[in-house]
Amino acid sequence: MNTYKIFKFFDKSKSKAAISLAFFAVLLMMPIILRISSYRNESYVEGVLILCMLWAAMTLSWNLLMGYMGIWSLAQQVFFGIAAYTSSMMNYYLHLSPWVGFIVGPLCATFVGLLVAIPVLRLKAAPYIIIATMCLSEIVRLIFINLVKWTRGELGFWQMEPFNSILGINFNGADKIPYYYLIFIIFAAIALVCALLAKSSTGLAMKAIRDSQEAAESLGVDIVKTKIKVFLISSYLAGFCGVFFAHYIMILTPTDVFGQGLMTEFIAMNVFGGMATIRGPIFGAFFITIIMETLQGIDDYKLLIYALILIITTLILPNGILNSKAQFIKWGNKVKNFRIHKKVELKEFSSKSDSIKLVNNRIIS
Amino acid sequence: MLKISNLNAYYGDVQVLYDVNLEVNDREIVTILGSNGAGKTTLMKTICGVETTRSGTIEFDGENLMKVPAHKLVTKGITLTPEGRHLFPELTVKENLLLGAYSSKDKKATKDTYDWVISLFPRLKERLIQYAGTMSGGEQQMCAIGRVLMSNPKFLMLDEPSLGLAPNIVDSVFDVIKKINEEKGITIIVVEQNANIALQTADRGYVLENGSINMSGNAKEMLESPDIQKLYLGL
Amino acid sequence: MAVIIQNLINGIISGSYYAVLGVGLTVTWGVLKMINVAHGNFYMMGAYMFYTFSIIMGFPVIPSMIAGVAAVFVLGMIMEKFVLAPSLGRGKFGDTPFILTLAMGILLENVAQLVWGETNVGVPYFNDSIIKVMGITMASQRLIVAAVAMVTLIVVLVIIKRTKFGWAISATAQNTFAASLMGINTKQIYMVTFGIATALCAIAGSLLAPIYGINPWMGESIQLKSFVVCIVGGLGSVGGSIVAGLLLGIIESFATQFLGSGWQNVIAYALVIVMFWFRPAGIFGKME
Repeated sequence: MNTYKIFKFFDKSKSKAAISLAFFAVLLMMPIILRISSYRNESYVEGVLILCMLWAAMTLSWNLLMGYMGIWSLAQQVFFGIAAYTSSMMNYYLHLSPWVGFIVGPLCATFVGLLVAIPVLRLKAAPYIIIATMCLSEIVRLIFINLVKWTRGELGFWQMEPFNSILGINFNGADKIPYYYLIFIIFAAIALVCALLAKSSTGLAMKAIRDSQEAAESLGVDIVKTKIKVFLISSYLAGFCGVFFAHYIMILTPTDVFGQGLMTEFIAMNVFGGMATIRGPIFGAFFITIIMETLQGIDDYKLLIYALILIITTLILPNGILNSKAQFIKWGNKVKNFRIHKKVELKEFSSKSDSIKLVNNRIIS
Repeated sequence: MLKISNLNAYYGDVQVLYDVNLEVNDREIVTILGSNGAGKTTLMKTICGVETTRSGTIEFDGENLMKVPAHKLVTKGITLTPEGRHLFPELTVKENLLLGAYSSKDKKATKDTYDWVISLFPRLKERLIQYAGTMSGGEQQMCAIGRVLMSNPKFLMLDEPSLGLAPNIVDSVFDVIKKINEEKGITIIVVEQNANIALQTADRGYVLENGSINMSGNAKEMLESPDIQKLYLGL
Repeated sequence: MAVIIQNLINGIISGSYYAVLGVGLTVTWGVLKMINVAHGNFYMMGAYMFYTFSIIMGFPVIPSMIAGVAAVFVLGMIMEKFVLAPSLGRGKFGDTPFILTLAMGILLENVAQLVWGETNVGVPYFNDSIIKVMGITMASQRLIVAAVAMVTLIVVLVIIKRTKFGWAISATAQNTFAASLMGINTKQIYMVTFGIATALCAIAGSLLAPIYGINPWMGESIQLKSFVVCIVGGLGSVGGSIVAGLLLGIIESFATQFLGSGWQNVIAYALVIVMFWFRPAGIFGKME
């Protein structure tokens, strides 16, 4: 009974808004909180949170395609990587400021988004889209590996500069705070965009397409336009993340950035946290990033534990942790029924009546 | 032969069958009527133990059928031609028929049954090497019934055999149903929307509406009954 | 001219094991209706099992290979029964098995890392000699690989088309409900089919181990190629995978010859994308 009340609380939109605000407020204040409490390792925690926000933003952008629209596009990291490389290479070869990268990078990512969207439009079934996007990612990765003269291939591209100072804020030092707030802005903005999109008419169209393309079409949804629109938005947002990543981490390799390893992480984060919501990807990204950091010590077993978590969660909670309210309630009910049933059984046996009936017929068969 | 008591069935949390009681005796043809959505196919699926959670009793020749998994039913002599036939579209007619005998170990008996089935359905004989998915509705129905006979069942359930078929084909299908019952003594349940032909062929009938039985009796009497005539025969 | 024939033969040789891998994947899709993203990892496990039996335990080559394949077969069945079976058809997005196989793949990679270490290990060639016929050079190891692969393909085809068990697999793939009504234990079929698919990967893995060496990540490069073969041939079509596998091998061979090895994969993947444009269902697939 108590679990039900708790869920009811979380359902109210006022509580939801309050929780979201609280979350972002805490994130905003985190560096300050860390410094005030004289916690020795602020830089480390900030570093972890930066990654959390970065991956959360990426997962949110992928969630638009996968969770809301049901398109198994495994090319999200391509948009990320293209923006990263574009910004870095323009910075190094053309001496453009990394801040300009924020303009150029996402645009290039969007262009690639369009290129990916075109074949995907043709394909209806998930396996085909999976293969097509995987092939496209691999093509991009191999191109970047092979064009060593410009991209330095697997040797790594580290010639980009960090963000130049703006308004007196210095991005070069060991201090992570400028990066922290930069990614915070990006993250919050992306979360806002996704939330607004989900509630808009496009958001409805997306969900309609996910549930039944034919039905959506018959109701007047322009499938082609919607798909392209969402691909463009998704890749654009991913582009921002890519530019930040390039000038923060300061090294790029094609496999790290275009490989399926990165994509797998987004999948895991989204599935774990719950698709088709805003809180799902955020929760998943934060949870998994933090767990992976904590497990750094057991480096050897890290991925093993990661895989086990994924398997177990998927089997028990296939909709992701934050989407499983209905399932938790069911379990609560089952436990309740079981307890009542046990009580009745004992009572009946002890009263030695002629006919034994059970309260809930379901238990017999 | 088959005795169902207090059968309740649920798709998840939604109840779809309410306290169903029915009986089929040896060598009988029993028909279950009802309009669309009444729960007829659900009843078939529930007897097979597929897709629904169920409670109550299903007894077949004294044995509790609830404990028998779907793929073992045929070994007990129970078979079902599902709604929509469900043939194997990429296998030939002959292969479909032979698959019907998958569970039987007796090669000689299978051969005899095969010959008998072919004689029952001369149209199939002409199409033995044709892919089952390319045949007409009537031919598919024949194939489906033939397939199910290959295991020499004691008990046969047919779910809407007349679905999508032209009236004269429906007649021949029901002729075959009568024939199997007479020649081999197979007990049959026919689930049907076409009340007219079903009641003409059957010995007894039940009416299923909204998941529960609301009428039962002798088939001829039901045919004459003004209620049935109004509701199901459009008279 | 000799160059062309040489490439053709090389292509057929590599195509034959691509075909084996593709068949495994296509059968998994056809019967279990899911994409196995850990396909490449079972290939890797096959190679490691072979290594374990032949090098670590010192058994002769052929029994080692058979034992290795059998071990992976059992592993595949166990994973199907405990990880995949409970999930088929559940969850809002019925592609839960995809994620599970993804996780399974990571699991296998890491178990391999822990058990056998990260460095490359090797297995000796079955046969060191080189054959020269009419100006065409071939390592006999590669010929053995091709021969075993082709025999495997023939065996698989025979099983599926001629045996009762093979019919049961086809029936389950075409209509699970009807199949169970015929007395086919579909759960068992799922389990065994998955086992067969992983066993096929293991065969390919064992055959190629002497040539390419073994490391926990060797499955990654083969993974996408297997997918390509499976899809180009048509999902669910065994014949299609065989044809597509051979085609891929031949195309790759020529691409390497004229464009260099870095670009061979790019060509292959680009062709897949083109193929999707004109005929998404694959060569032998059904248009939906």
